[in-house]
Amino acid sequence: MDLLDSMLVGFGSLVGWKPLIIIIVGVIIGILAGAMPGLSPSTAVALLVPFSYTMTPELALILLTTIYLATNYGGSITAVLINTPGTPAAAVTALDGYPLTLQGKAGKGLGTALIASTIGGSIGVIVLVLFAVPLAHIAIKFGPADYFALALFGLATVASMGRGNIIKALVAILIGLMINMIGIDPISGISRFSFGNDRLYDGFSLIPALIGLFAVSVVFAKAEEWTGFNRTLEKVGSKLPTLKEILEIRGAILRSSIIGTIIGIFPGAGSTIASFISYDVSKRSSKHPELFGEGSLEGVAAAEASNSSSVGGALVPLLALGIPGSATDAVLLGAFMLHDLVPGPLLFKTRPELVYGIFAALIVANIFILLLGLYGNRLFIRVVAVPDAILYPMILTLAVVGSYSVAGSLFDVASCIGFGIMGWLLKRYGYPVAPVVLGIVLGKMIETNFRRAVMMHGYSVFLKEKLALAVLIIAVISFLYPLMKQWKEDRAKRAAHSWKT
Amino acid sequence: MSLMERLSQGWGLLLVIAAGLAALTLSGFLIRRSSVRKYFGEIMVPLSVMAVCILFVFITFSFPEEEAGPAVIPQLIAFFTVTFCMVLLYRVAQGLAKPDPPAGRTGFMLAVVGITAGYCFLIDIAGYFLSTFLFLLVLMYVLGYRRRAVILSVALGWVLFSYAIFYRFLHIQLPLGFWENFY
Amino acid sequence: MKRFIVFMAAAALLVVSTGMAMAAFPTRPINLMVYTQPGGAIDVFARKFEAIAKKYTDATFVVVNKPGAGGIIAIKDIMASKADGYKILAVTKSNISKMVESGSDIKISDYSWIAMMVSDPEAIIVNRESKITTWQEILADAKAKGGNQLWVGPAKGGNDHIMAMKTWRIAGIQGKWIPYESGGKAMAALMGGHGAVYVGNPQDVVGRPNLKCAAISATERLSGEFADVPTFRELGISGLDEEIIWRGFMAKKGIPAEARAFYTELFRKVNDDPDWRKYILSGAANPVFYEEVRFTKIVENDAKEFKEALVGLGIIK
Repeated sequence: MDLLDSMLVGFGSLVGWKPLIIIIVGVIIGILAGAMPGLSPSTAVALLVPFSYTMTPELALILLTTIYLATNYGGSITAVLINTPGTPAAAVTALDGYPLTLQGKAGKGLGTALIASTIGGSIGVIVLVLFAVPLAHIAIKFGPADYFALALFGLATVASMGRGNIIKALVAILIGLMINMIGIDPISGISRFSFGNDRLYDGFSLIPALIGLFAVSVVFAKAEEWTGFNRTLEKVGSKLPTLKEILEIRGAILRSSIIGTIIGIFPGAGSTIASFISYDVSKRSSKHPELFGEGSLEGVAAAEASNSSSVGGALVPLLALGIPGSATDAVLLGAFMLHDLVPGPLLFKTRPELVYGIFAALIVANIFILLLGLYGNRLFIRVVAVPDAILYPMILTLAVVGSYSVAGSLFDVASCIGFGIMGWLLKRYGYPVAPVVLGIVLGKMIETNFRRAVMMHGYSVFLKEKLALAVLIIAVISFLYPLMKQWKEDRAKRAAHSWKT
Repeated sequence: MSLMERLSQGWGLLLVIAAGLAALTLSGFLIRRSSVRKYFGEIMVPLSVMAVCILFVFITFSFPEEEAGPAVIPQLIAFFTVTFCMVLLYRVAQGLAKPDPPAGRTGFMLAVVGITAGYCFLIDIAGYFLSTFLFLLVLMYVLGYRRRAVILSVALGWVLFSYAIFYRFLHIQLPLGFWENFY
Repeated sequence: MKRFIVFMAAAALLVVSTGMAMAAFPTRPINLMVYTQPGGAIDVFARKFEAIAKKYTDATFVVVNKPGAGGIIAIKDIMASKADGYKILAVTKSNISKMVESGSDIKISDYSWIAMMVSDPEAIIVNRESKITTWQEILADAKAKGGNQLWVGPAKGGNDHIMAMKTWRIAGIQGKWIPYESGGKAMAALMGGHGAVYVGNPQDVVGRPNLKCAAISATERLSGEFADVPTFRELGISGLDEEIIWRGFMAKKGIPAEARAFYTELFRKVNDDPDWRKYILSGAANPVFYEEVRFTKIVENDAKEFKEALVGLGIIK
């Protein structure tokens, strides 16, 4: 009853034209920034922090959290249409979304992403409203060994991405992990593999690597097989998914929303891992696993439901404990401080109208994302009808703006082009690039938690912590199983080969 | 200072890098001339990845030694990478690998890469807006598009769009280059 | 079009700034550099300053974020620009440790350390819901665990780690430093019961009711909600009375005298401003105003201490 009252107060604080305008502006900025490769949720929110300073605390925080939510949906648009994930988490959306576009079903891909996003986003917020405090207290009980296990489990999802050669997918993931080792070591404080270069002190940023590997590499690959320009696609389908199609994948949407929310709650895990894991789980429990990677609506829905629901999850530690759970949370924490507010349990008591106002705004924002998304899709979809001689130069300039906006540094732009060349080479010889991104995302999480666990309790900790051990065993099996399968196939092929000769 | 430590930094490390590059170039040269020519990429990619891993392992020898120290995870990653790369090479040797895709218009592709790199340098001097305008004109032309009115309006439209959306609406501080002096 | 807009903006700004400025400095907007993204602690500090400075000057401050390498990128950016006084950087003590650690060619003496504005005492923080909630309990537990008491905090070799090592040495105990990527994550670990002690600042406890300061490095007790937190001296520990994190402003060496006079005047006024003092005190820190000579001495001393500590840890040679 208390909660209901509080939510009424929250919705009450939205009455009037100002909060609604702010939510709509936030949703539009969020969708555009998300669709823009390079503006990850944390960068997009950070860019708007100075602007929000002049607003009242309520409006400022509504604007910033709405942007946070909407960027996670926006990332799917470019991922589906031009295979350029707008946010790191949308790299997973691209795996099935882009094949859909190639099949002339762009509308289905975009529509599924939109619906899954809004359902996921709503579930994340509802969990946030109902269980923020108890969940936050459970989440912080997990120690470094558990985080290490979770991250390794995240890596194991590579098995569902390596269509073709699993060994090449593993090498790709290891390349990503190695790239992530460059820069300062957060545990010992020494600088590694940076060759004395200040720009490499923090290592390569994820965003330029992501854009380079996914978007720039495609342009380079197309240039290699250039035979004069064409329309990018012959057939552009703007038909939305039918209600029946959505109902068929409701299991994937609900499951992924819950996975996304839970993973989002863990401080430091984040939406990208949530998407990869949901994709993996959905593929394993799907009736049509063979469609994954070939344009499965379930795959798109899994990725989008989980990354949008992770927003609600990630806000749990911030609002309930005052601990930033994601990179965007850290920026939001600064925004709170700028307005002389300290997020945490006391804020629920001292400024309930503000906290519940944010909750209410996030629920309303989901509705606007759905409405604006439906309208926007009709515009966005025209992008792929443009001749490729115009589209590809645009993708390259987008990549430049995107990598530049991360830290205002041309070094990131140059490394983006470098990653583009690398991605082109890798794809040319049959190595998937999504695992490289996964490696870059998870490298530090795996390393720091492994070493912290050992520093705290010695190597035996991984055997003593029951939960960590169980997850580790599952992860190792997920790695070994496809390797064994490949080995058997090879043996059979070799036998057939020698039998022939 | 042990030999390994000597090779892990300064001149020693340069020596290791030079040796690695020489070995890669030599193997590339030999493969081109041999019968496994059509597996050039299949062999060279794992070889290069292995070379970088071995280089990184050399560098780890200069890291301070401590319990679960900074060298442990990079060495583990390198170990697994080298192992899997060896498996890939073994599969080539066993005839299980697919031959390389046929070479496309590598020259044309390199031109596109070069124009993009040039664009990146130009931004530093001439700022984002002017460089982008020029880049779009040049690349659309190079890609074979010839309708001048369309090229011009797309390039100009994009510059205006990025000014309005990125610079004003999203507050991205795009580099201004020498235009900054007018500010 | 673009050129026209830039030109008009420039013209407008020139008219406005020359028309209103009283002294010879400044005649155009000043870049206030910040070494983190918007939303970082020092960014909040800079923006608060910018808002309050408006009361006392017609000069425009433009906050520019130049993140990277723990401040090295921004510090080098200052070096690469003209010493005309139109670019100042908001600095904090951890920048000095990065300067020392990066081993690059940056020298303290190449910069003008204009003013130190905030002094934030170091604090030993514990989890109220754990078994160790006071300094005495920390000591007893540390002795019982014999070097395996877990202290959590940000990176190895940073301010807080060095504070912890000093504390161990003076108190005659031994702990194990478990570094986290950020203070926030280390606090989460303390709340989750993965470590016994966290080293930070009193501000870290504000708004987090399950955390508590066990000891504070200050000559006198703080006021308000910290009134019952003992200082190290009260606990019988001497030599830990002035361990602080500072925040202030610096520029390139050799800025013109009128610029220096302008800043000294402005910083003094801001330091006396009630809103400014309220903002700093709400973070449980002390507003101060140390001019260049005193600030430079503090910075030099910090650099020396960091150097010794980082060599001792094997992070630099």
